[in-house]
Amino acid sequence: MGTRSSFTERAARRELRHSRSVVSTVVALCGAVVSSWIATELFLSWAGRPALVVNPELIIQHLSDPGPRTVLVSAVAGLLGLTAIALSISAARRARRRVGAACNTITIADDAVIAGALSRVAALAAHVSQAQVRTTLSRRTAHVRVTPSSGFPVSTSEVAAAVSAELAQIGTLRRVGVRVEPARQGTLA
Amino acid sequence: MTAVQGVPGSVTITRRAYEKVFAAITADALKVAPRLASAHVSDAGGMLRVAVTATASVSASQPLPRRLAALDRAIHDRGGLLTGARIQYGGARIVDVVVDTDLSRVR
Repeated sequence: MGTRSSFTERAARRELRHSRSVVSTVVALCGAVVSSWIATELFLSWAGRPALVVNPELIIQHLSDPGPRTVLVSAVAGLLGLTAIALSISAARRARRRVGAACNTITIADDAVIAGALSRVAALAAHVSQAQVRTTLSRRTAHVRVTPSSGFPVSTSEVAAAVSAELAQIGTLRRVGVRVEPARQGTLA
Repeated sequence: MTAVQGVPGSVTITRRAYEKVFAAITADALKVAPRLASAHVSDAGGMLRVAVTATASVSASQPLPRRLAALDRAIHDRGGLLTGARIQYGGARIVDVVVDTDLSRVR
C-alpha cells in the first residue's frame, strides 16, 4: 500500500508540475559542449597547435585584467547561471490542482474547469447569464467578476456564499478564498 | 438576463422589450396613442435609465406639468412594478401637444 501511495503521489506531482527534462537536457548539452571545447583548447595549447577559437592563456590573461568585453561576457554568464538556479528551485506549477478527498485515488482538475464551475454557480446566485461572469483562479483566491443586468443589483454576499459552498463541494486541497467584484456598469440584452 | 435559482432555464429581457413597456406606460400616462410614444433604455451605473419621447395630451384640468408629473410617477412605479428593475428616469422629450378636443382623433 505504501508503494502504491508513493507511486500515485509521484504521478500526481508529474501532473501538477511542469517537467524540467527539456531544460535539464539543454543545460547538460551546453555544459558538455563548453567542457569539450575547453579540453580541446587546453590540449591544443599543450601540443603547441593554434587555438580553435581562443587560447586558454589569453582567457586567463583577460580574467586577471578584465576589460569591458570580459565584464560583458561575465555578466551574460552570471545571468545564465541565475536563470538556471531560478529554474531549478521554482515550483513550475501547472494551472491544475488536487480536488476531492478520496483515500486511494488522486483527482486532479484544471483550474479552467474549476473556474467554469464557479462561474456557473456565481451566475445562478447573481441571477445573470454565465457570459456576464468571469472567474479567475489563482493559487489561493478565486476572483469572480460579475456584470449585473441593468436595473438588477448583484448581492456580493450571496454570490460569495454560493461560490464558497461550491469550492467546499469541489474540495480543493488548499483553502481558496473568494473575492466577488461587481462591475460598476450593468449590461442590457 | 435573470435566472431563478432552482428553476431550470433562464429568462432574457431584451432592450426592445423594456422599450416597448416604457413606451406603453408613457402613452398611458400622457393619454395618447401608443404609436405617439417611444422610449430609450440604457445602463446608468447598474440602474435602468429610461428616457422617453412622446406627444402629450393636455386639457384644462390636466395641464402639461401635471401630465409630466404623472409620467414621472408612472415610469418609476408602474415601470418598476412591471419590470422589477431599479429605474433611473432620464427625462421626457415632448415633441407635440394635443388638446383635449383632439383626443377623439388620437384615440
